[in-house]
Amino acid sequence: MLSWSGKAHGVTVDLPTLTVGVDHAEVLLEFARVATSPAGDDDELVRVRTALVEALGESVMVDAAAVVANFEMMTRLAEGTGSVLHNMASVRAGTAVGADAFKHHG
Amino acid sequence: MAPTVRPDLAAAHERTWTSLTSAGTWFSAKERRALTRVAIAAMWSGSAEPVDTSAEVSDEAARAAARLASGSPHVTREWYESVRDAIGPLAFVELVGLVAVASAAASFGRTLGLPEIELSDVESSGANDDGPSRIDPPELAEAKWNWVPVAAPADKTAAVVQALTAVPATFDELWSLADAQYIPDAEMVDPKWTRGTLTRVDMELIATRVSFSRECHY
Repeated sequence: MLSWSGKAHGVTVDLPTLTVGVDHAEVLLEFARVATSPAGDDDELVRVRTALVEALGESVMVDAAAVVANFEMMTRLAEGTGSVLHNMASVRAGTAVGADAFKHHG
Repeated sequence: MAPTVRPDLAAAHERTWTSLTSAGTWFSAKERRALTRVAIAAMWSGSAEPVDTSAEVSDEAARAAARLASGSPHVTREWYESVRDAIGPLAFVELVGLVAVASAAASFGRTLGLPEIELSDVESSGANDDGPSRIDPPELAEAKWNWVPVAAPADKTAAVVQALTAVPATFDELWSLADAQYIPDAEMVDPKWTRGTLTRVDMELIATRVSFSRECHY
């Protein structure tokens, strides 16, 4: 999905390094990393919220939190229901980002 | 000061909290509240060991909720089959949906620094406290792309889309939340769709980072 949407926008995407040709990629990635860390660190959350609001505004930060929440949901849905990829392009993309290391469905 | 949340997103989360504390198809309101507490505690601790639920729900269901919510549960088909045999395949589907939406609701509040939701407050604000509806499932089929049963015909749509179809109320609960949090279903095919905030590339970049954190191959 990242490669597909990047292509539509004319944005370069390098999946193995998760390098994306948009100016604010790093602040979004850092926001998502801290928001998904299991140990609650409120100071870190304040730091990444502030950075994202300063870079792109509050409404973007709120929608970024919603996307994080959505994939906290979808990853557990996929894991719990034993969902597997049936699309070879998606399988190749998973391999590109190193996700095969986590493949453990029997 | 709490950030402003767009109305449709705030309403979707409010519906989710009410649903988590109300009766489902295969779990009572009391059981769903206990499972929600287990899931959120496991999510924050990262531990697959459930908190004490004071016998409000079966040990098997509580253990499964904690493991799925813990973040990187590394579950196998054999694990699924053992839980399914203990609680039933349709209850398992509802359990996965409950853990998934509880994780979303808790994540959203924590990320934005919103006050923690007290389940007892939701209960007293009108949540349905009846027993489970036990509504008959649609015609079911065995899927190749999921280990849970799905509504027939199987494998005609993506695995995550068909995953909860055996319990329609759980399916509706999760996908209505996804519409508000991510992209409305009808817009999924448009790589340039935006609400005017994040671009589709921004959304997929965040999605990829979260999936990496959760070690999710899908």
